[in-house]
Amino acid sequence: MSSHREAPAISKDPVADNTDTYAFVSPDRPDTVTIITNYIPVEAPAGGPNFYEFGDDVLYEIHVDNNGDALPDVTFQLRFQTLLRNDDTFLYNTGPITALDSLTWNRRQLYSLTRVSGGDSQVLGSGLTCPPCNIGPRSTPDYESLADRAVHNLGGGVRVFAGQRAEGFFVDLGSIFDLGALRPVQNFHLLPLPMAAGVNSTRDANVHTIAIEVPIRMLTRDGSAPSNPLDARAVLGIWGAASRRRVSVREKAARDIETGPWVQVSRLGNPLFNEVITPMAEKDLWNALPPSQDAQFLKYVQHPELAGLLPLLYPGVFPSLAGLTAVRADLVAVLLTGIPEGIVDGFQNFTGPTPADMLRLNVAIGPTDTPNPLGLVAGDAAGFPNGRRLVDDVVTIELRAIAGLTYTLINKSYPLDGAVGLVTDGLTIANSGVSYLDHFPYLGVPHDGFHTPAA
Amino acid sequence: MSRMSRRAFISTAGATGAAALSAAALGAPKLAGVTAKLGPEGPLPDGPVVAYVRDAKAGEVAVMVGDREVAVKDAALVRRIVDAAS
Repeated sequence: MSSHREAPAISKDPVADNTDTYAFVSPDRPDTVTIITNYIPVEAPAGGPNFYEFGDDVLYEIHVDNNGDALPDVTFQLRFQTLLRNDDTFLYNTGPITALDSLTWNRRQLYSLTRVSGGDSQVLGSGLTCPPCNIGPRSTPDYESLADRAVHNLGGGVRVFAGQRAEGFFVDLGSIFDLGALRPVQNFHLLPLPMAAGVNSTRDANVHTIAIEVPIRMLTRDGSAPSNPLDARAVLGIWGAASRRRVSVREKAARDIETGPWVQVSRLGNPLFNEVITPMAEKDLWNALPPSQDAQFLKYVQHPELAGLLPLLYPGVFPSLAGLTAVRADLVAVLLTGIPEGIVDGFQNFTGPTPADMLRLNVAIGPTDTPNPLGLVAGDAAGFPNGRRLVDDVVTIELRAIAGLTYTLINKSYPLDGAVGLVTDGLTIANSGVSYLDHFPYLGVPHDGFHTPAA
Repeated sequence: MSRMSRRAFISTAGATGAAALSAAALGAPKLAGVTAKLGPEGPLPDGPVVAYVRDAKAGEVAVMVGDREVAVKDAALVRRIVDAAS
């Protein structure tokens, strides 16, 4: 949940709150791209009887820009419909749910997937089933198998899944939001405490996931599957978004009216952008705008507030960063334009000069069998900020980037602070408690409400 | 009045019973008078129509119908709405 509850308005609207967006070349089908957008932050697995679901009144979208103008060239739209089978019970289910059409499953969701491109709209699938939430061993006795049946093959190499998953993002929110503390180095903090291991704040949480797997040729500007990473056609800009109708009228008997054009209320490209780059006063505005209008936020990337805070919060630890007053062209490249050719040998994900917050995925770079969670800055060009994989430790990557690590890419003489390599919230894949699948939809089986939290 | 006539605006608002501007609020004589003046202009929508006065002093009304928003500029219409609400 790199962008959960990150803005005042969307924090009150969780079903439309885009918490994370991922995009990567599918490791088991490298001729395809997998795009994942998550919603509904910090789901408590036992949160019944009204368990979590997508919003019937929300338009969920995944946008792909394939020509560098930060405007969507291919969009996937999802609309949901909730069906109540039994009006006479308060229960989500009245017996074990053993199939996606079990009569004992009282409240189900179906959805449609539509591809929009070049003014044409094509329904790729309708009446598609979501899996139920993972209730517990009596209600959802073979959850993994049940949820597998909610992966829909739509023909043309497209697969889709929409439903509950285990949260895959790990972060020590408790420490970071306590005045920027990082437990492993909090003994150096302005208000010191003994150093400690990181705590994964989202360890037991679930999330609602939209995942699609699409052939690369369906996304590139000319239908090609480029093999040269320096080919401009290989770079895709990707972001997720959620919209609501402009007008909602509260009517009697909860027969509310929603009408008018769709209005974007949430979006997400790069992790943590709106969370830690955009000032509080402009976060709601940011969520309402498309990436093509991000020039107005450029100054916050050029001079990020967090880069100024680190030397204050950790006195004497970041002397070089304290003196770094130049425009952070490195962060502009990482977050807003992509990295041009010539900065990292054999790599680029540059989309042009238009500053826009999008994930930028170079599809000519295939997946690796041994991904490094620190991604590109650790020499693994298949990882963030080349798209974003589930395993990428974006908290550490972005903290170190803001602390100056990526500035050395554009200024070789910059004396990087020695502490930058120690900057971490203390969490890794190994100690975070998260696990992933090795196949679509990749995010793990959701925690069930009976066992979570553990007795 | 651009893109959507005053008559269609008032008629659909009254027909749905769900609009911010209702026929009852306007008063039947005023609505009837406007309808008679403009005449019929196509079928009424099946779904709800919602209108609100965006800027009374500028005479701006926003009308939501389906996936569309239609901007209407009519100071006289705004005056009648405001009078109906007073």
